[in-house]
Amino acid sequence: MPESCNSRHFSWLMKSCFPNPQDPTSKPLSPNPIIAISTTTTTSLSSLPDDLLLECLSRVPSSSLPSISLVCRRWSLLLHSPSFLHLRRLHHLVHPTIFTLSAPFAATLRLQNGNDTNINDPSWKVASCLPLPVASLDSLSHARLSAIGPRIYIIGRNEMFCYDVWSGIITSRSSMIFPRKKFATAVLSGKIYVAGGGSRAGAALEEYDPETDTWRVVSHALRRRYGCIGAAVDGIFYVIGGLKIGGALNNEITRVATVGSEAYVYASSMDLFDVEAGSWLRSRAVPDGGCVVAACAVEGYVYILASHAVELSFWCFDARGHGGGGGGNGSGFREWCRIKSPPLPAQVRIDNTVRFSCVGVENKVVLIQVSGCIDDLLRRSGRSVRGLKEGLVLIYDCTSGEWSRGPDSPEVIRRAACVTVEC
Amino acid sequence: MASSESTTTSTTTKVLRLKSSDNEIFGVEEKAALQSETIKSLAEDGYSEDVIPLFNVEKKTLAKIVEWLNKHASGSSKEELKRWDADFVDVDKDVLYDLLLASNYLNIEVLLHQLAQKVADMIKGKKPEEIRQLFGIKNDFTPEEEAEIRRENAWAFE
Repeated sequence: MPESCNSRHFSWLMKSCFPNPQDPTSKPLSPNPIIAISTTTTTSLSSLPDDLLLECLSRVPSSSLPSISLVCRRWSLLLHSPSFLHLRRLHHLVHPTIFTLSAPFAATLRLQNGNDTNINDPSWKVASCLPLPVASLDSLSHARLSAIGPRIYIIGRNEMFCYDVWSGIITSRSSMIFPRKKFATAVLSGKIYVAGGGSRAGAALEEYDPETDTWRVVSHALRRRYGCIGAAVDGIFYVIGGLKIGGALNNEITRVATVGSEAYVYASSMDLFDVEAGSWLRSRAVPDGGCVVAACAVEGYVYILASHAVELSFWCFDARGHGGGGGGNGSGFREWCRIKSPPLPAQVRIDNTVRFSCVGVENKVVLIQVSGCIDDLLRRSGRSVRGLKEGLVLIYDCTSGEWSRGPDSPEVIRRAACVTVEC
Repeated sequence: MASSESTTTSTTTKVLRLKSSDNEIFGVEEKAALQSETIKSLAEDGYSEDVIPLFNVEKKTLAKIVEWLNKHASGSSKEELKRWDADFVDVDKDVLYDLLLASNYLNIEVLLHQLAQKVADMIKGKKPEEIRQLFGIKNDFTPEEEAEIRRENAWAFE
Protein backbone atom coordinates (compact mmCIF):
# COMPACT_ATOMS: atom_id res chain seq x y z
CA MET A 1 0.00 0.00 0.00
CA PRO A 2 1.67 3.22 -1.05
CA GLU A 3 1.15 6.23 1.19
CA SER A 4 0.02 8.18 -1.82
CA CYS A 5 -3.49 6.78 -1.71
CA ASN A 6 -4.00 9.02 1.30
CA SER A 7 -4.34 11.78 -1.15
CA ARG A 8 -7.55 11.67 -3.04
CA HIS A 9 -6.54 14.69 -4.99
CA PHE A 10 -3.35 13.14 -6.13
CA SER A 11 -5.06 9.96 -7.18
CA TRP A 12 -7.71 11.95 -8.93
CA LEU A 13 -5.05 13.91 -10.76
CA MET A 14 -3.45 10.70 -11.91
CA LYS A 15 -6.76 9.32 -13.09
CA SER A 16 -7.68 12.41 -14.98
CA CYS A 17 -4.34 12.42 -16.74
CA PHE A 18 -4.33 8.78 -17.68
CA PRO A 19 -7.11 6.46 -18.75
CA ASN A 20 -8.14 4.03 -16.06
CA PRO A 21 -6.14 0.87 -16.80
CA GLN A 22 -8.70 -1.22 -14.93
CA ASP A 23 -11.53 0.01 -17.01
CA PRO A 24 -11.63 -1.84 -20.34
CA THR A 25 -13.78 0.87 -21.85
CA SER A 26 -11.32 3.65 -21.14
CA LYS A 27 -9.46 5.07 -24.05
CA PRO A 28 -6.41 7.19 -24.53
CA LEU A 29 -6.96 10.94 -24.52
CA SER A 30 -7.68 11.16 -28.18
CA PRO A 31 -10.80 12.68 -29.70
CA ASN A 32 -11.06 9.93 -32.28
CA PRO A 33 -10.41 6.55 -30.78
CA ILE A 34 -9.13 4.10 -33.34
CA ILE A 35 -11.02 1.15 -31.97
CA ALA A 36 -14.45 1.58 -30.46
CA ILE A 37 -14.70 -0.87 -27.59
CA SER A 38 -18.22 -1.61 -26.54
CA THR A 39 -17.68 -4.40 -24.05
CA THR A 40 -19.69 -4.14 -20.89
CA THR A 41 -17.87 -5.96 -18.14
CA THR A 42 -19.43 -6.12 -14.74
CA THR A 43 -17.58 -4.20 -12.09
CA SER A 44 -17.10 -5.98 -8.80
CA LEU A 45 -16.02 -4.73 -5.42
CA SER A 46 -12.74 -6.56 -5.86
CA SER A 47 -12.05 -4.73 -9.12
CA LEU A 48 -12.11 -1.35 -7.39
CA PRO A 49 -8.69 0.22 -6.92
CA ASP A 50 -7.22 0.21 -3.42
CA ASP A 51 -8.03 3.83 -2.65
CA LEU A 52 -11.72 3.38 -3.44
CA LEU A 53 -11.97 0.13 -1.53
CA LEU A 54 -10.28 1.90 1.39
CA GLU A 55 -12.89 4.65 1.20
CA CYS A 56 -15.57 2.00 1.71
CA LEU A 57 -13.84 -0.19 4.27
CA SER A 58 -12.69 2.74 6.40
CA ARG A 59 -16.32 3.66 7.05
CA VAL A 60 -17.55 0.48 8.69
CA PRO A 61 -18.28 0.57 12.43
CA SER A 62 -15.53 -0.68 14.76
CA SER A 63 -17.53 -3.81 15.54
CA SER A 64 -17.17 -4.93 11.92
CA LEU A 65 -13.39 -4.52 11.74
CA PRO A 66 -12.55 -8.04 12.99
CA SER A 67 -14.72 -9.46 10.18
CA ILE A 68 -12.98 -7.31 7.58
CA SER A 69 -9.57 -8.63 8.60
CA LEU A 70 -10.77 -12.17 7.92
CA VAL A 71 -12.39 -11.74 4.51
CA CYS A 72 -9.29 -12.05 2.32
CA ARG A 73 -5.62 -11.13 2.18
CA ARG A 74 -6.17 -7.87 0.38
CA TRP A 75 -8.71 -6.63 2.92
CA SER A 76 -6.47 -7.65 5.77
CA LEU A 77 -3.56 -5.75 4.22
CA LEU A 78 -5.72 -2.67 3.65
CA LEU A 79 -6.90 -2.75 7.26
CA HIS A 80 -3.29 -2.62 8.42
CA SER A 81 -2.16 0.10 6.03
CA PRO A 82 -1.33 3.58 7.35
CA SER A 83 -4.00 4.98 5.02
CA PHE A 84 -6.70 3.10 6.86
CA LEU A 85 -5.94 4.83 10.17
CA HIS A 86 -5.61 8.14 8.38
CA LEU A 87 -9.04 7.76 6.76
CA ARG A 88 -10.74 6.64 9.97
CA ARG A 89 -9.36 9.72 11.72
CA LEU A 90 -10.68 11.81 8.86
CA HIS A 91 -14.13 10.22 9.20
CA HIS A 92 -14.12 10.76 12.98
CA LEU A 93 -14.29 7.03 13.57
CA VAL A 94 -11.22 6.92 15.80
CA HIS A 95 -11.74 7.44 19.51
CA PRO A 96 -8.96 7.53 22.07
CA THR A 97 -9.69 4.73 24.51
CA ILE A 98 -7.99 3.87 27.78
CA PHE A 99 -6.87 0.24 27.84
CA THR A 100 -5.84 -1.36 31.12
CA LEU A 101 -4.28 -4.76 31.38
CA SER A 102 -3.85 -6.96 34.39
CA ALA A 103 -2.90 -10.03 32.39
CA PRO A 104 -4.89 -11.83 31.23
CA PHE A 105 -7.73 -9.47 32.15
CA ALA A 106 -8.27 -6.27 30.28
CA ALA A 107 -10.71 -3.39 30.45
CA THR A 108 -11.37 -0.30 28.39
CA LEU A 109 -12.77 3.14 29.08
CA ARG A 110 -13.83 5.73 26.58
CA LEU A 111 -14.34 9.19 27.99
CA GLN A 112 -17.07 11.55 27.04
CA ASN A 113 -16.01 13.84 24.31
CA GLY A 114 -17.33 17.35 23.80
CA ASN A 115 -18.54 16.71 20.26
CA ASP A 116 -19.31 13.04 20.65
CA THR A 117 -22.88 12.55 21.74
CA ASN A 118 -22.83 8.79 21.36
CA ILE A 119 -21.35 8.21 24.77
CA ASN A 120 -23.78 9.32 27.41
CA ASP A 121 -22.27 7.69 30.42
CA PRO A 122 -18.66 6.62 30.20
CA SER A 123 -18.14 3.26 31.82
CA TRP A 124 -15.53 0.53 31.83
CA LYS A 125 -15.93 -2.48 29.61
CA VAL A 126 -14.26 -5.59 30.91
CA ALA A 127 -12.95 -8.27 28.61
CA SER A 128 -13.26 -11.67 30.12
CA CYS A 129 -9.75 -12.68 29.28
CA LEU A 130 -7.20 -11.94 26.58
CA PRO A 131 -5.97 -15.09 24.81
CA LEU A 132 -2.43 -14.78 26.06
CA PRO A 133 -0.40 -17.98 26.49
CA VAL A 134 -0.67 -19.15 30.09
CA ALA A 135 3.07 -19.71 30.19
CA SER A 136 3.60 -16.02 29.43
CA LEU A 137 1.47 -14.62 32.23
CA ASP A 138 4.37 -14.58 34.67
CA SER A 139 6.51 -12.59 32.26
CA LEU A 140 3.59 -10.21 31.73
CA SER A 141 2.83 -9.63 35.41
CA HIS A 142 4.69 -6.32 35.36
CA ALA A 143 4.19 -5.60 31.68
CA ARG A 144 4.28 -2.07 30.38
CA LEU A 145 2.08 -1.00 27.49
CA SER A 146 2.77 1.13 24.45
CA ALA A 147 0.29 1.92 21.71
CA ILE A 148 0.98 2.75 18.09
CA GLY A 149 -2.24 3.61 16.31
CA PRO A 150 -4.72 0.78 16.99
CA ARG A 151 -2.03 -1.66 18.12
CA ILE A 152 -1.09 -2.19 21.74
CA TYR A 153 2.33 -3.61 22.51
CA ILE A 154 2.31 -5.61 25.71
CA ILE A 155 5.95 -5.49 26.78
CA GLY A 156 6.71 -8.20 29.32
CA ARG A 157 9.98 -8.91 31.08
CA ASN A 158 11.19 -11.28 28.38
CA GLU A 159 8.25 -11.56 26.03
CA MET A 160 6.26 -9.15 23.94
CA PHE A 161 2.85 -9.37 22.32
CA CYS A 162 1.08 -7.12 19.89
CA TYR A 163 -2.65 -6.83 20.36
CA ASP A 164 -4.37 -5.43 17.31
CA VAL A 165 -7.46 -3.76 18.69
CA TRP A 166 -9.21 -3.60 15.32
CA SER A 167 -8.88 -7.21 14.32
CA GLY A 168 -8.72 -8.56 17.88
CA ILE A 169 -5.64 -10.55 16.95
CA ILE A 170 -2.76 -11.07 19.36
CA THR A 171 0.62 -11.98 17.92
CA SER A 172 3.93 -12.71 19.55
CA ARG A 173 6.74 -10.23 18.83
CA SER A 174 10.45 -10.01 19.57
CA SER A 175 11.22 -9.40 23.21
CA MET A 176 13.47 -6.64 24.49
CA ILE A 177 17.20 -7.40 24.34
CA PHE A 178 17.46 -7.02 28.12
CA PRO A 179 14.80 -8.27 30.52
CA ARG A 180 13.21 -5.37 32.36
CA LYS A 181 10.60 -4.80 35.02
CA LYS A 182 8.99 -1.51 35.96
CA PHE A 183 10.73 0.33 33.17
CA ALA A 184 9.92 3.53 31.30
CA THR A 185 8.35 3.30 27.86
CA ALA A 186 7.01 5.75 25.32
CA VAL A 187 6.30 5.96 21.59
CA LEU A 188 8.05 8.47 19.35
CA SER A 189 7.67 8.61 15.55
CA GLY A 190 6.13 5.15 15.41
CA LYS A 191 8.87 3.49 17.43
CA ILE A 192 8.87 2.26 21.01
CA TYR A 193 11.57 3.36 23.46
CA VAL A 194 12.33 1.68 26.76
CA ALA A 195 14.77 2.60 29.53
CA GLY A 196 15.55 1.49 33.06
CA GLY A 197 13.99 -1.34 34.97
CA GLY A 198 16.67 -3.91 35.53
CA SER A 199 20.28 -4.40 36.50
CA ARG A 200 21.03 -6.55 33.49
CA ALA A 201 19.70 -3.89 31.20
CA GLY A 202 21.97 -1.47 33.00
CA ALA A 203 21.81 1.88 31.35
CA ALA A 204 20.84 0.58 27.92
CA LEU A 205 18.09 2.49 26.16
CA GLU A 206 16.38 0.32 23.55
CA GLU A 207 14.37 1.18 20.49
CA TYR A 208 11.80 -1.09 18.86
CA ASP A 209 10.87 -0.80 15.21
CA PRO A 210 7.48 -2.46 14.58
CA GLU A 211 8.13 -2.57 10.82
CA THR A 212 11.08 -4.91 11.21
CA ASP A 213 10.14 -6.38 14.61
CA THR A 214 13.61 -5.64 15.98
CA TRP A 215 15.03 -4.09 19.12
CA ARG A 216 18.36 -2.28 19.26
CA VAL A 217 20.28 -0.36 21.88
CA VAL A 218 20.42 3.28 20.83
CA SER A 219 22.00 4.95 23.84
CA HIS A 220 22.99 4.61 27.47
CA ALA A 221 21.11 6.46 30.15
CA LEU A 222 22.64 8.87 32.59
CA ARG A 223 20.91 7.23 35.51
CA ARG A 224 20.01 3.60 35.97
CA ARG A 225 16.46 3.78 37.16
CA TYR A 226 14.00 1.18 38.40
CA GLY A 227 10.28 1.82 38.70
CA CYS A 228 10.50 4.75 36.34
CA ILE A 229 7.84 6.19 34.02
CA GLY A 230 8.16 7.11 30.36
CA ALA A 231 6.57 9.97 28.43
CA ALA A 232 7.11 11.50 25.01
CA VAL A 233 6.72 15.05 23.67
CA ASP A 234 8.17 16.62 20.52
CA GLY A 235 10.91 14.08 19.84
CA ILE A 236 12.01 13.80 23.48
CA PHE A 237 11.76 10.61 25.51
CA TYR A 238 11.32 11.48 29.20
CA VAL A 239 12.51 8.92 31.74
CA ILE A 240 10.91 10.01 34.97
CA GLY A 241 11.34 9.14 38.65
CA GLY A 242 11.94 5.72 40.10
CA LEU A 243 14.71 4.39 42.28
CA LYS A 244 18.40 3.95 41.73
CA ILE A 245 19.65 0.53 40.73
CA GLY A 246 22.85 -0.07 42.65
CA GLY A 247 25.49 -2.76 43.15
CA ALA A 248 25.01 -4.41 39.81
CA LEU A 249 27.57 -7.08 40.59
CA ASN A 250 25.02 -9.86 40.34
CA ASN A 251 21.82 -10.19 38.44
CA GLU A 252 19.60 -9.31 41.35
CA ILE A 253 18.18 -5.88 41.64
CA THR A 254 19.36 -4.23 44.79
CA ARG A 255 18.04 -0.91 45.82
CA VAL A 256 20.07 1.69 47.56
CA ALA A 257 18.72 2.50 50.98
CA THR A 258 16.21 5.26 50.57
CA VAL A 259 17.87 7.33 53.26
CA GLY A 260 20.60 8.40 50.88
CA SER A 261 20.13 11.76 49.26
CA GLU A 262 21.11 10.23 45.94
CA ALA A 263 18.01 8.06 45.90
CA TYR A 264 15.90 11.19 46.15
CA VAL A 265 17.62 12.61 43.12
CA TYR A 266 16.26 9.68 41.12
CA ALA A 267 12.76 9.80 42.52
CA SER A 268 12.40 13.52 41.93
CA SER A 269 13.99 14.02 38.53
CA MET A 270 13.59 13.22 34.89
CA ASP A 271 16.13 12.52 32.18
CA LEU A 272 15.51 13.77 28.65
CA PHE A 273 16.62 11.86 25.59
CA ASP A 274 16.50 13.53 22.19
CA VAL A 275 15.60 10.62 19.93
CA GLU A 276 16.56 12.18 16.62
CA ALA A 277 19.88 13.60 17.81
CA GLY A 278 20.56 10.50 19.90
CA SER A 279 21.73 12.63 22.79
CA TRP A 280 20.72 13.40 26.35
CA LEU A 281 19.63 16.88 27.35
CA ARG A 282 19.97 18.48 30.75
CA SER A 283 18.00 16.54 33.35
CA ARG A 284 15.25 18.33 35.23
CA ALA A 285 14.35 18.11 38.89
CA VAL A 286 10.75 18.03 40.05
CA PRO A 287 10.22 21.23 42.06
CA ASP A 288 10.14 21.10 45.86
CA GLY A 289 11.84 17.71 45.92
CA GLY A 290 8.65 15.72 45.40
CA CYS A 291 8.88 12.03 44.56
CA VAL A 292 7.21 11.15 41.29
CA VAL A 293 4.07 9.07 41.80
CA ALA A 294 2.65 9.19 38.29
CA ALA A 295 3.37 11.01 35.06
CA CYS A 296 2.17 11.30 31.48
CA ALA A 297 2.31 13.63 28.51
CA VAL A 298 -0.66 15.60 27.18
CA GLU A 299 -0.61 18.06 24.29
CA GLY A 300 3.00 19.17 24.63
CA TYR A 301 3.18 19.11 28.42
CA VAL A 302 4.53 16.54 30.85
CA TYR A 303 2.23 16.19 33.87
CA ILE A 304 3.65 14.86 37.11
CA LEU A 305 1.94 13.89 40.34
CA ALA A 306 4.52 14.16 43.14
CA SER A 307 4.40 13.03 46.72
CA HIS A 308 6.02 15.14 49.42
CA ALA A 309 6.44 14.44 53.09
CA VAL A 310 2.78 14.97 53.89
CA GLU A 311 1.03 16.02 50.74
CA LEU A 312 0.62 15.55 47.02
CA SER A 313 1.36 18.12 44.37
CA PHE A 314 0.57 18.19 40.67
CA TRP A 315 2.83 19.87 38.14
CA CYS A 316 3.06 20.48 34.45
CA PHE A 317 6.25 20.96 32.49
CA ASP A 318 6.01 22.87 29.24
CA ALA A 319 7.83 20.52 26.88
CA ARG A 320 6.87 22.09 23.59
CA GLY A 321 9.54 23.14 21.11
CA HIS A 322 12.69 22.11 22.88
CA GLY A 323 14.79 24.33 20.63
CA GLY A 324 14.98 22.03 17.64
CA GLY A 325 16.96 19.28 19.28
CA GLY A 326 20.45 18.83 17.92
CA GLY A 327 22.00 17.96 21.23
CA GLY A 328 21.70 21.41 22.75
CA ASN A 329 21.22 21.84 26.44
CA GLY A 330 17.50 22.19 25.97
CA SER A 331 17.47 25.81 26.97
CA GLY A 332 14.37 26.32 24.88
CA PHE A 333 12.22 24.63 27.54
CA ARG A 334 10.02 26.67 29.71
CA GLU A 335 9.60 25.94 33.36
CA TRP A 336 7.44 23.98 35.75
CA CYS A 337 4.06 25.20 36.74
CA ARG A 338 2.18 24.00 39.79
CA ILE A 339 -1.44 23.25 39.06
CA LYS A 340 -4.49 22.15 41.02
CA SER A 341 -3.85 18.96 42.99
CA PRO A 342 -6.18 15.98 42.56
CA PRO A 343 -9.17 16.00 44.93
CA LEU A 344 -7.70 13.61 47.46
CA PRO A 345 -7.52 14.33 51.19
CA ALA A 346 -5.22 17.30 51.55
CA GLN A 347 -2.72 15.55 53.72
CA VAL A 348 -2.07 12.16 52.29
CA ARG A 349 1.33 10.78 51.60
CA ILE A 350 1.24 8.12 48.94
CA ASP A 351 3.23 5.09 50.05
CA ASN A 352 4.07 1.89 48.22
CA THR A 353 0.70 0.29 48.87
CA VAL A 354 -1.20 2.91 46.91
CA ARG A 355 -0.20 3.30 43.31
CA PHE A 356 -1.43 5.45 40.49
CA SER A 357 -1.04 5.13 36.79
CA CYS A 358 -1.49 8.13 34.60
CA VAL A 359 -2.46 8.37 30.94
CA GLY A 360 -3.17 11.24 28.61
CA VAL A 361 -6.44 11.16 26.67
CA GLU A 362 -6.87 14.04 24.24
CA ASN A 363 -6.69 17.11 26.48
CA LYS A 364 -7.11 15.21 29.74
CA VAL A 365 -4.89 13.58 32.30
CA VAL A 366 -6.50 10.44 33.66
CA LEU A 367 -5.20 9.26 37.00
CA ILE A 368 -6.05 5.62 37.69
CA GLN A 369 -5.47 4.11 41.10
CA VAL A 370 -4.06 0.74 40.13
CA SER A 371 -3.44 -0.68 43.58
CA GLY A 372 -4.07 -0.03 47.25
CA CYS A 373 -6.79 1.98 48.90
CA ILE A 374 -6.61 5.54 50.12
CA ASP A 375 -9.10 4.79 52.88
CA ASP A 376 -6.67 2.19 54.24
CA LEU A 377 -3.93 4.76 54.08
CA LEU A 378 -6.02 7.21 56.07
CA ARG A 379 -7.17 4.58 58.55
CA ARG A 380 -3.59 3.64 59.28
CA SER A 381 -2.82 7.20 60.16
CA GLY A 382 -5.85 7.22 62.46
CA ARG A 383 -8.18 9.27 60.32
CA SER A 384 -11.74 8.68 59.34
CA VAL A 385 -12.59 6.91 56.13
CA ARG A 386 -13.69 9.09 53.26
CA GLY A 387 -15.11 6.53 50.83
CA LEU A 388 -12.13 6.70 48.52
CA LYS A 389 -12.04 3.05 47.77
CA GLU A 390 -9.90 1.14 45.35
CA GLY A 391 -9.89 1.71 41.63
CA LEU A 392 -10.36 5.45 41.93
CA VAL A 393 -10.29 7.30 38.61
CA LEU A 394 -9.70 11.05 38.57
CA ILE A 395 -9.73 13.15 35.42
CA TYR A 396 -7.95 16.48 34.99
CA ASP A 397 -9.16 18.63 32.15
CA CYS A 398 -6.05 20.49 30.98
CA THR A 399 -8.13 23.16 29.26
CA SER A 400 -10.42 24.09 32.15
CA GLY A 401 -7.92 23.17 34.85
CA GLU A 402 -10.55 21.25 36.78
CA TRP A 403 -10.62 17.74 38.24
CA SER A 404 -13.58 15.41 38.04
CA ARG A 405 -14.17 11.86 39.13
CA GLY A 406 -14.44 9.13 36.50
CA PRO A 407 -16.04 5.70 36.83
CA ASP A 408 -14.10 3.43 39.21
CA SER A 409 -11.95 0.90 37.43
CA PRO A 410 -13.26 -2.69 37.49
CA GLU A 411 -12.34 -4.90 40.41
CA VAL A 412 -10.64 -7.61 38.36
CA ILE A 413 -8.18 -5.08 37.06
CA ARG A 414 -5.54 -4.79 39.75
CA ARG A 415 -1.97 -3.57 39.43
CA ALA A 416 -2.84 -2.77 35.87
CA ALA A 417 -0.72 -1.30 33.16
CA CYS A 418 -2.52 1.48 31.31
CA VAL A 419 -2.28 3.04 27.88
CA THR A 420 -4.38 5.14 25.54
CA VAL A 421 -5.10 3.57 22.18
CA GLU A 422 -6.77 4.92 19.06
CA CYS A 423 -9.54 2.67 17.89
CA MET B 1 -22.86 27.61 -27.04
CA ALA B 2 -25.59 25.07 -26.90
CA SER B 3 -27.86 26.99 -24.55
CA SER B 4 -30.11 28.40 -27.27
CA GLU B 5 -32.05 25.18 -27.84
CA SER B 6 -31.91 23.99 -24.26
CA THR B 7 -35.05 23.77 -22.20
CA THR B 8 -33.74 25.85 -19.32
CA THR B 9 -36.00 28.56 -18.05
CA SER B 10 -33.34 31.20 -17.79
CA THR B 11 -31.61 32.25 -20.95
CA THR B 12 -28.52 33.29 -18.99
CA THR B 13 -27.99 29.78 -17.63
CA LYS B 14 -25.02 28.18 -19.27
CA VAL B 15 -25.26 24.53 -20.17
CA LEU B 16 -22.25 22.27 -20.40
CA ARG B 17 -22.31 19.30 -22.71
CA LEU B 18 -20.83 16.12 -21.27
CA LYS B 19 -19.95 13.20 -23.52
CA SER B 20 -19.88 9.67 -22.14
CA SER B 21 -17.30 7.08 -23.19
CA ASP B 22 -19.92 5.58 -25.51
CA ASN B 23 -20.51 8.96 -27.14
CA GLU B 24 -23.81 9.97 -25.58
CA ILE B 25 -24.08 13.68 -24.91
CA PHE B 26 -25.76 15.08 -21.80
CA GLY B 27 -26.56 18.74 -21.33
CA VAL B 28 -26.10 19.87 -17.73
CA GLU B 29 -26.47 23.32 -16.23
CA GLU B 30 -23.07 24.72 -15.40
CA LYS B 31 -23.97 25.24 -11.75
CA ALA B 32 -24.82 21.54 -11.40
CA ALA B 33 -21.94 20.25 -13.48
CA LEU B 34 -19.30 22.20 -11.60
CA GLN B 35 -19.91 20.12 -8.48
CA SER B 36 -17.51 17.80 -10.22
CA GLU B 37 -13.97 19.03 -9.75
CA THR B 38 -12.91 17.17 -12.88
CA ILE B 39 -15.52 18.89 -15.04
CA LYS B 40 -14.64 22.19 -13.39
CA SER B 41 -11.00 21.95 -14.34
CA LEU B 42 -11.83 20.73 -17.84
CA ALA B 43 -14.19 23.68 -18.22
CA GLU B 44 -11.47 26.02 -17.03
CA ASP B 45 -9.15 24.49 -19.61
CA GLY B 46 -11.42 25.78 -22.33
CA TYR B 47 -13.57 22.74 -23.00
CA SER B 48 -16.71 24.58 -21.93
CA GLU B 49 -17.49 25.94 -25.38
CA ASP B 50 -17.33 22.47 -26.81
CA VAL B 51 -18.26 18.99 -25.69
CA ILE B 52 -16.51 17.81 -22.52
CA PRO B 53 -15.31 14.25 -23.10
CA LEU B 54 -15.54 11.91 -20.10
CA PHE B 55 -13.63 8.87 -21.27
CA ASN B 56 -14.15 6.84 -18.12
CA VAL B 57 -17.90 7.07 -17.73
CA GLU B 58 -20.47 5.08 -19.69
CA LYS B 59 -23.84 6.61 -20.56
CA LYS B 60 -25.90 4.55 -18.12
CA THR B 61 -23.63 5.67 -15.29
CA LEU B 62 -23.37 9.23 -16.54
CA ALA B 63 -27.17 9.44 -16.67
CA LYS B 64 -27.30 8.60 -12.96
CA ILE B 65 -24.51 11.05 -12.16
CA VAL B 66 -26.27 13.82 -14.06
CA GLU B 67 -29.44 13.04 -12.13
CA TRP B 68 -27.50 13.43 -8.87
CA LEU B 69 -25.80 16.65 -9.99
CA ASN B 70 -29.13 18.19 -10.97
CA LYS B 71 -30.82 17.21 -7.74
CA HIS B 72 -28.00 18.57 -5.64
CA ALA B 73 -28.07 21.89 -7.49
CA SER B 74 -31.84 22.22 -7.24
CA GLY B 75 -31.94 23.85 -3.83
CA SER B 76 -33.94 21.05 -2.18
CA SER B 77 -34.25 21.07 1.57
CA LYS B 78 -31.74 19.10 3.62
CA GLU B 79 -34.33 16.56 4.72
CA GLU B 80 -35.61 16.03 1.23
CA LEU B 81 -32.10 15.63 -0.11
CA LYS B 82 -31.33 13.08 2.58
CA ARG B 83 -34.34 10.97 1.62
CA TRP B 84 -33.56 11.33 -2.05
CA ASP B 85 -29.90 10.33 -1.53
CA ALA B 86 -30.91 7.21 0.39
CA ASP B 87 -33.05 6.14 -2.59
CA PHE B 88 -30.34 7.11 -5.03
CA VAL B 89 -27.68 4.82 -3.55
CA ASP B 90 -30.18 1.98 -3.15
CA VAL B 91 -29.15 0.31 -6.39
CA ASP B 92 -27.72 -2.98 -7.60
CA LYS B 93 -24.17 -3.67 -6.54
CA ASP B 94 -22.64 -3.39 -10.01
CA VAL B 95 -24.32 -0.03 -10.53
CA LEU B 96 -22.99 1.04 -7.16
CA TYR B 97 -19.41 0.17 -8.10
CA ASP B 98 -19.71 1.94 -11.45
CA LEU B 99 -21.03 5.01 -9.65
CA LEU B 100 -18.14 4.80 -7.19
CA LEU B 101 -15.59 4.67 -10.01
CA ALA B 102 -17.34 7.50 -11.84
CA SER B 103 -17.69 9.76 -8.80
CA ASN B 104 -14.02 9.17 -8.08
CA TYR B 105 -13.02 9.94 -11.65
CA LEU B 106 -15.26 13.00 -11.76
CA ASN B 107 -14.09 13.95 -8.27
CA ILE B 108 -17.48 14.55 -6.70
CA GLU B 109 -16.50 14.25 -3.05
CA VAL B 110 -19.99 14.30 -1.53
CA LEU B 111 -21.34 11.61 -3.82
CA LEU B 112 -18.26 9.47 -3.38
CA HIS B 113 -18.71 9.58 0.39
CA GLN B 114 -22.37 8.63 0.13
CA LEU B 115 -21.55 5.64 -2.06
CA ALA B 116 -18.64 4.48 0.10
CA GLN B 117 -20.88 4.73 3.16
CA LYS B 118 -23.48 2.61 1.35
CA VAL B 119 -20.91 -0.14 0.80
CA ALA B 120 -19.78 0.15 4.43
CA ASP B 121 -23.39 -0.20 5.58
CA MET B 122 -23.70 -3.38 3.52
CA ILE B 123 -20.66 -4.84 5.30
CA LYS B 124 -21.84 -3.81 8.75
CA GLY B 125 -22.77 -6.61 11.13
CA LYS B 126 -21.85 -9.42 8.73
CA LYS B 127 -19.58 -12.37 9.30
CA PRO B 128 -16.55 -12.81 7.01
CA GLU B 129 -18.24 -15.63 5.08
CA GLU B 130 -21.37 -13.53 4.56
CA ILE B 131 -19.24 -10.64 3.31
CA ARG B 132 -17.45 -12.91 0.84
CA GLN B 133 -20.76 -14.24 -0.44
CA LEU B 134 -22.33 -10.81 -0.76
CA PHE B 135 -19.45 -9.34 -2.75
CA GLY B 136 -18.22 -12.47 -4.53
CA ILE B 137 -14.82 -12.44 -2.86
CA LYS B 138 -12.58 -15.48 -2.87
CA ASN B 139 -11.13 -16.56 0.45
CA ASP B 140 -7.40 -16.69 -0.30
CA PHE B 141 -6.18 -17.51 3.20
CA THR B 142 -4.68 -20.96 3.54
CA PRO B 143 -6.56 -23.27 5.93
CA GLU B 144 -3.55 -23.10 8.26
CA GLU B 145 -3.60 -19.31 8.28
CA GLU B 146 -7.31 -19.30 8.92
CA ALA B 147 -6.99 -21.68 11.82
CA GLU B 148 -4.22 -19.52 13.24
CA ILE B 149 -6.25 -16.34 12.91
CA ARG B 150 -9.36 -17.91 14.38
CA ARG B 151 -7.42 -19.13 17.35
CA GLU B 152 -6.01 -15.70 17.97
CA ASN B 153 -9.06 -13.68 17.17
CA ALA B 154 -10.63 -13.32 20.52
CA TRP B 155 -11.72 -9.96 21.66
CA ALA B 156 -12.10 -6.73 19.85
CA PHE B 157 -13.57 -3.76 21.58
CA GLU B 158 -15.78 -1.18 20.07
